[in-house]
Amino acid sequence: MQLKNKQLQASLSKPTVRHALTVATCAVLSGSLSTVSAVEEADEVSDLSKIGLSTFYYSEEERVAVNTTHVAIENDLGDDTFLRGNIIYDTISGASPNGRIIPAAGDGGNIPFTSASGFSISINDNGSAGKRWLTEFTDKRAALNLSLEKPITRTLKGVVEGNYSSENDFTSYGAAGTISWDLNQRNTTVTSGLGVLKERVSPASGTPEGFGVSNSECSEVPDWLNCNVTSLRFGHGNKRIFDGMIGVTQVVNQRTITQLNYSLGVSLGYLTDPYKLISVVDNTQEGKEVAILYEKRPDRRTRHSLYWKTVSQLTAKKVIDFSYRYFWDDWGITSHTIDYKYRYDYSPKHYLQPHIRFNLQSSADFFQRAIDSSVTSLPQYASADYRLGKLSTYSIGIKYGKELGVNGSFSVRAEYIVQGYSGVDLPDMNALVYQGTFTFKFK
Amino acid sequence: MVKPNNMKALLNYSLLCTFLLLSGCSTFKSGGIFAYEEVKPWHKAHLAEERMQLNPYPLENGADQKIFYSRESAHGGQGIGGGGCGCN
Repeated sequence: MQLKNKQLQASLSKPTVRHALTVATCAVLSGSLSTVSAVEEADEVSDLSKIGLSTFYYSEEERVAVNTTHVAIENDLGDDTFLRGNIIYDTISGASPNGRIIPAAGDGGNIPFTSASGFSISINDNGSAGKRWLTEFTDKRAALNLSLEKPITRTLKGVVEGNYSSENDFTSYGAAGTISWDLNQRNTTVTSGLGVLKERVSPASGTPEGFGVSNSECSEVPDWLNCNVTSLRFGHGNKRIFDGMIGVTQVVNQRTITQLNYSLGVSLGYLTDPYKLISVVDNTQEGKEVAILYEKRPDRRTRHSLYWKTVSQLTAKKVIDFSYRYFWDDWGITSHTIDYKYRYDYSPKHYLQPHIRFNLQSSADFFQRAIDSSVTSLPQYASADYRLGKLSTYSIGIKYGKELGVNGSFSVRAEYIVQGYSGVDLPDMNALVYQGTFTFKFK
Repeated sequence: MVKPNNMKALLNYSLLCTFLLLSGCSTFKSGGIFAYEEVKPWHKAHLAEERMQLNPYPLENGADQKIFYSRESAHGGQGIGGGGCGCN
């Protein structure tokens, strides 16, 4: 819907229109849930609160499945002040690669291992517990997020938020604050923010010592490895994460808005994954796995990202949403991510939105598929977690959306994701995503 | 099952189309969608639409962020905030 010139000329001086324009402009620059669908509706909907419900199913072929329920509530407190809350509940089950090499056919072995859900299981190639390069687990996650958005002055806006999430073996507390400064008739917005997270991982049997021996049944081991002493166990693994960002959002013309953000993050503490392993292999015996160790990562990581996003209305029916992110860190990882959505409103209340995304990632300096038993000493750090390796992720999806009257909307989408690995003997990961979302505005 | 190479070819083709759009081949204006013009507050009807926001579908965006956070090493960039995840 468009603002007609006659309407504008007739009522420009009315406070309601000024308020409507203010709300609409804020909505444009905030990118928040509190957006309005058109300027002439802005006054009408500015006092409305909003509830969003989403159910989400993610399923990897022969690996992990996740069911998520998400409830989002936005309460309009007036004067452009919003209180928002998000409640998320996940149930997770399946199997995840644990870092061990994939054995040759028939090279079995029954090795006790403590899974992520805290249960001791025996992993055997042919057993019911699944393949030994995978670890089965179940988990539940509940997360709560509360935020308050409030104008500070006519051109300054602040957002503060708090986060809490809990799993069987993981807890996270966080707080963040963002300030946005509107300039240039609100066509330019400078945004700056800081966030801190405190996280704790608590495996049922404690966190293992880095490079500790996972199994006591290893044999033919190098001199530097003592299989008679399995890994020491410690208490919780704690880490702190600090994030900062600065960004500029610019209205380019009446149909295009663009944003550029730089983010810097520092993670400190126990950054090792207590469930990930690394095999010690004997290359004189065709790479036979002779021992299994826990991985070990540095206790500090500095991350950077540059993120560029553009949204543009090509015609009344076509909107493109394009983003590119370049990420790099001091672990040696670099990553390029491109995301592209194309929304086509084939009728006033219905739209289709194809989506593609791809990510190319290089490996961390200390990533290695296995440790060669012929080395004279262990490296300082080593991980065989495929997520730290060289990989590429491609996803393609389609979404259908429908407006339900003036105050509601409904959408469903499906995505197909495939992830391939370089230098790792893992099979490609194939995943499907389904999501249904309903939003409703109310007084 | 779709092979990564097939997906890559499809995505490369889609990206080519995207860059053509972004470079202005889809419009007759110089500068394409990035043709700069002064925008007054009363010119922002299109920009105020929900579909024109930088994060128009937060529930879906949140789900995507979590998926890729748990399967890739790179994350973040869009802003500050959000909780942690011990995702395996």
